[in-house]
Amino acid sequence: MPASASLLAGLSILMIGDSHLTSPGYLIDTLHDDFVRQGAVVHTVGVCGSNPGDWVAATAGTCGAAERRGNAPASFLPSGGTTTPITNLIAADKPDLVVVVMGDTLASYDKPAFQKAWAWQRTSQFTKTLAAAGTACVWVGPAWGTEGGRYNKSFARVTQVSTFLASNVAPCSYIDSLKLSAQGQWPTTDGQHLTAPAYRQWATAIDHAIVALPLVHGLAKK
Amino acid sequence: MMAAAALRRSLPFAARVAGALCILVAQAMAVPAGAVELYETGPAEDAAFLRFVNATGKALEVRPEGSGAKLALPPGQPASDFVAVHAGKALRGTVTLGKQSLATETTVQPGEFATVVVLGGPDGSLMQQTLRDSPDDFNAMKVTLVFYSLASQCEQASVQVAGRGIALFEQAATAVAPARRQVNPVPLAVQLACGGRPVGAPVDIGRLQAGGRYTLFAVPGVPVPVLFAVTDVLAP
Repeated sequence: MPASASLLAGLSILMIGDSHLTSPGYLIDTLHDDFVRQGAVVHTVGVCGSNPGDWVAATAGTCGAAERRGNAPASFLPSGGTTTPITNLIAADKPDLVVVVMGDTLASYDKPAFQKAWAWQRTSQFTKTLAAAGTACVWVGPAWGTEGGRYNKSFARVTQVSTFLASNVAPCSYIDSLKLSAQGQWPTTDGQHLTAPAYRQWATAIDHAIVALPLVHGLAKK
Repeated sequence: MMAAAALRRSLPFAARVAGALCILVAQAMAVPAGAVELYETGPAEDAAFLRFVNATGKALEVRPEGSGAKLALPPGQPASDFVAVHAGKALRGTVTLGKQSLATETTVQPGEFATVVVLGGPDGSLMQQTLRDSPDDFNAMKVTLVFYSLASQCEQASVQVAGRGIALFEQAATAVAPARRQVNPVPLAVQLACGGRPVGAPVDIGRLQAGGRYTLFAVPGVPVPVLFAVTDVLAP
């Protein structure tokens, strides 16, 4: 637990995202646990394959979903699933902080080029909605993963995506996961999804990055 | 559930076991143990967008072919939103101004933001010009300004910060290629200049929004060219 762990004590955190939040041992367990251990009230919702635009209005997922509240175990749906609009989640939870974990689903890894206009459309729709809600937010970008695999991930493309996100997720603060490890340092099962120990390491690195943000210092309960 | 139960009743035990094994094998082949089911990380091709801009100064309507819908573009609201369209497919429609009409057809390529500008010709007829932009500068912290110089009567068209003489766009050729730059989110009023001399009245755009995209059009006018600004908006 980082020295500044108490920063999160009493904060209500809503975490949403893609497949990195939808299986046991992924960030819905590791990062969620880190937040809870520091005294945050945490609600995590993941829909596999979802991109930011899918969280503006309810959108059916294709490959599973999961949800977890506080210390309770997560409930996993192995296929299907539907997003809940971010405005509804914020209205229900009234979180102090929204944590978004998305990026790989914007990358078009198996296509010759990064589909930038589409990525901008999907991202800007979502960030406008978040901005209108006025809730503080942090966006966690994709990790290096490993090249190839089932998704044809490449270091070059994930760099493009992360660079795009860094300048397009405002008003959220961006956490560049590519700076949290060396290329290929965290092993994967399929190029994109990490092994359980690697998800543990990614969560720890994200946690440290979040509590170092001035934004989060400003939110800390006195 | 009911169908499965009926199947169980109708099949011999060996066949049911074989069927179950097939299902298990298929599932195992489809998704490795502990793996996430495969999903798309993007569409087959990039998004494409189309909008119409009314530069006639009079009320205009656009009717897409095969649709009863109509898009009204009054002088006070000269630009439609950018609407997501199928890339590579010809999009046809009719533009109407009073009793005049004009057939329009546009094919938008992947990654393109196409704008059909409807202009009044020198003889009062309707004209159209299709402008194509493939931006690569998306940035939620900056403001993007794009300028099109469509007025042939305005040579060496430039756009300045009104009242301050600071050039935003200098001596743009009369062309359909966009000139672009990024600026900070500040209040902005702009002034068209032709051949270095201010023409027409300043245009107050208001406070530019971070992440916002704005397009400036210099179009033919009587007695002088006209500059107007629109906010680029994506349809929901």
